[in-house]
Amino acid sequence: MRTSVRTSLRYLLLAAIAVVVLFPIYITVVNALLPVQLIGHRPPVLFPSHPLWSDFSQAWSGGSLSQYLRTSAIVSISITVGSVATSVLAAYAFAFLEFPLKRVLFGLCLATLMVPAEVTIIPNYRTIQVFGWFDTYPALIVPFVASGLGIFLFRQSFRQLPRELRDAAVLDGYGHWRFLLRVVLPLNRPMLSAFAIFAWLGAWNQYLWPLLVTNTDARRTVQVGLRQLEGLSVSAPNVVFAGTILAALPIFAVLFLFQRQLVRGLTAGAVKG
Amino acid sequence: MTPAAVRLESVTKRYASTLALSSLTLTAEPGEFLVLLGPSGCGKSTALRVIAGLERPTSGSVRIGDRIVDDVEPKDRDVAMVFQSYALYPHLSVRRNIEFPLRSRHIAASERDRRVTDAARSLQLEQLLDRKPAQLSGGQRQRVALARAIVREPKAFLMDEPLSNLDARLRVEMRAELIELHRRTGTTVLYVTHDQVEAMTMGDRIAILNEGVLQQVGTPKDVYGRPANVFVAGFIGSPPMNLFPGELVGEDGVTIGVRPEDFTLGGAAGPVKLAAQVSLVESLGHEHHVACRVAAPSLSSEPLVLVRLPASVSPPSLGEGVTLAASGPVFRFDSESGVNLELAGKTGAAAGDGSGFR
Amino acid sequence: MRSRRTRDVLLAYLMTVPAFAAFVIFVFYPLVKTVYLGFYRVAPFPGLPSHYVGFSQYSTVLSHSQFLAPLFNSTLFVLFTVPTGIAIGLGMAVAAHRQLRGIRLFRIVFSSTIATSVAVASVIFFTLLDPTTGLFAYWIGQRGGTGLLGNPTFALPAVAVVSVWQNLGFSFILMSAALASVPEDLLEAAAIDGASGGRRFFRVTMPLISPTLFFAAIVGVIAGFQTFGQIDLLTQGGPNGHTNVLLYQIYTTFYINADTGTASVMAVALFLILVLLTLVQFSIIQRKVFYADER
Repeated sequence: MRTSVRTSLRYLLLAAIAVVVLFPIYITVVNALLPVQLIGHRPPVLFPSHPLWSDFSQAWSGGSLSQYLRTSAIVSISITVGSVATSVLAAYAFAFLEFPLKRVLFGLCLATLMVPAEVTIIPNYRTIQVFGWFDTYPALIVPFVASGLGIFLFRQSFRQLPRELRDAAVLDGYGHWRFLLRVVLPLNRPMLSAFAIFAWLGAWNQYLWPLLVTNTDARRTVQVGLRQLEGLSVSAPNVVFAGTILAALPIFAVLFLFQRQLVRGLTAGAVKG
Repeated sequence: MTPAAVRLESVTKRYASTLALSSLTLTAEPGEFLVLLGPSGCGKSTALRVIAGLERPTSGSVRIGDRIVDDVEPKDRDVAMVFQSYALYPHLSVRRNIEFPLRSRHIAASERDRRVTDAARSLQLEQLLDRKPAQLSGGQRQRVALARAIVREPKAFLMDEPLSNLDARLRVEMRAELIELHRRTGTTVLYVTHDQVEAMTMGDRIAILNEGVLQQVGTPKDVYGRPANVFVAGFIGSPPMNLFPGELVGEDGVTIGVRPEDFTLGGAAGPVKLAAQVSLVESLGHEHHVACRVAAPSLSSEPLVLVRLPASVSPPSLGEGVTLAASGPVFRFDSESGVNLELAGKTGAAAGDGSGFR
Repeated sequence: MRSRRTRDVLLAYLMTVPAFAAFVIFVFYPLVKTVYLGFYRVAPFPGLPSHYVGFSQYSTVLSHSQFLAPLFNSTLFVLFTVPTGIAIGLGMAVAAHRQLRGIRLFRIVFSSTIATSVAVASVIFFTLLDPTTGLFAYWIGQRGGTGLLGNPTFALPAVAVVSVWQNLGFSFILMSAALASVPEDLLEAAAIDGASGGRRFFRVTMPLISPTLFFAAIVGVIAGFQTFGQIDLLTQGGPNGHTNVLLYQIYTTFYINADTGTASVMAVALFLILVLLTLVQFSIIQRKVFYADER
């Protein structure tokens, strides 16, 4: 009897936390489904009796949301693919090849971890201007196609491979490229996907840099687009709510699909195992 | 594939501060099963890696067949290697693992399939071809590693402690299987191990290395019966040969060696007689091991001598005083250089006749 | 074989070049350039050349309230967000640690804010805190006026709440992983020794997860000093500079006021603060790895 009371209390606690965590998202969804005159109604409407889906279509087609989302998708996927590729290559060299200045170069890779992008925006902004990249995809992508963290994580992961696997491949006539493609990459899939999802999340959520280097709707990412959207909060608040939900949906979908990789990526280095 | 001779010619391999191989010259004849034996770190694995081309020797050269291969890529040396950890690719099925070496060599699919099937059949792997290495037992993995070496039909097999990750029973089984495999293929085998039982049972000849230096090459009978020096004498034979200072029997400047099975308690008169006290008796069923402390007033410590008695003899009791008499060969080694004096020819007349303590 | 070695070296450089090209152009060069730009004072009118003033610009900017006030705000913001974020995340992780029917669903819900970006969270709370239509104003019985975000006392705490909420998912995931890494047998041993639940938590669990707590704290502090989006979307540094944090100040100085020299000096200062924190973080991770190996 006593244990069942405790279990009930436990569920009550969990439910209370869930309500607090979810409420801001929930109320945004509710408002997105209300007709505009019911937003800000007193007492507030907490459940939409006649959900209205038109706000979503309005937010989708009326604003530039679909454009923002497309830009964000292109940028974040390019950054993910690019940083995984450059990191895999560099990490392979650091893990399997001997070359002069190897330690120095690896030290420099680690050093980049200490230089957050926020610190270097001023010269980088000028560089983008000099390259003629202002308000283009390269401006949003190229500065982030290399990752010191990726190189570090992949090198650690690659070095876990037994040396005898490499020896066997050498005897079997497999050069570095084929060894990389046929053996190293397949065997390091967990680490690759964890880093990829982590890199994607970071790229998707960027705010300051896209704000600096874009000035037209065609190149604004969805995060910066939300800033434009926020400006509508007085004239069309329902569109703001619907737009916010639409902006958040892709990331919900991706993270739901890749939960395991995400957790592994986020906790890499923080918790052993 | 015709088996080839494999020859190391004054090969020296130096790492930053250590000398892994010191001017090693050694030949495995075509079709021979040559065992490289020695304690860990003696350079035997380095020798194998130099032959495979995985390491470049500091000096000296390697010859496979009639070709000097120093500038030949490992994959073109036509040798296959079996690793201690098996080095199977965990993400590939057994079939893909076995055919892995063939895929890089542009061998026609039909020929590839034939070879994989043959190798799998000869190692009883046909039922396992679609499994992943993680689903196999240690012995099965070992077989896959062997199959992967066989499909290449190489001129020589290089095996680096291939049985040391197996449990004792499997090791005996695989030993027999390897011998059988060698007889069937007739390929030259260079086999590295630290286990002298493996060396004695499998090798046509044994090359014993210590600290990068070749100590002796010979048939199992040779290295057991005519050890070149103290190191070989102590390394070959289980339990190891008893070695004690010649002072005990009135012979200065030499180390005396008698194998445990060549001692009797009391009994017949022999060239070596020692008064001792029994300090430990181990009865193994098929034989007894008796450890005895030798009375040695002239020495700072009393040497321990191990005697191996057949099960038919009843062992002495603990603390009993006994007289140890050598009933078999007595070896004499120079106590400075460790060289077997009989083989060195210096005291040929004296060796074995026991002059001086009759 | 000699040629193979040369080939390997060439291959190694070929493989590292893409990453290093990006590092040189977008990390190392701009880092040095930022320090260099700090030596030049920008003319008050556009079009005039800036001139070299050496370290004097560093000393004037870094002792001026235009830097010190944002630094203070950033510090305050970190103090508001980091301890609360960790404590709440840990509390949620403890609540969801016990195996119960349906716990998976709760865990997904608890991690869900990881799927909101800073911008999404900011816009959501912007509407919630709206002084006219927002729910919050209704709850505290106010309508109209400046609202929380316009209130000099409450603006920064309000932004902090948004950040804490947005980070709950991450904090929860991190703390759950830490709890899961505590060996069950240690807790059982403590229970057999008669330790109560609370005692087990504070005497066994907490010491074992302390490395993760440190890690979360440092990561949180670093992220706190890099706060930008919340400010830009919620308060634009106002009211009256009360939410003007360091990075936002750098942004306005550079982007709005075009004072590159001053902005660069502050960027260098921000860099030094972050390097210091990162070094602390590395040393903790290293020590933790050491613990882990010992165990």
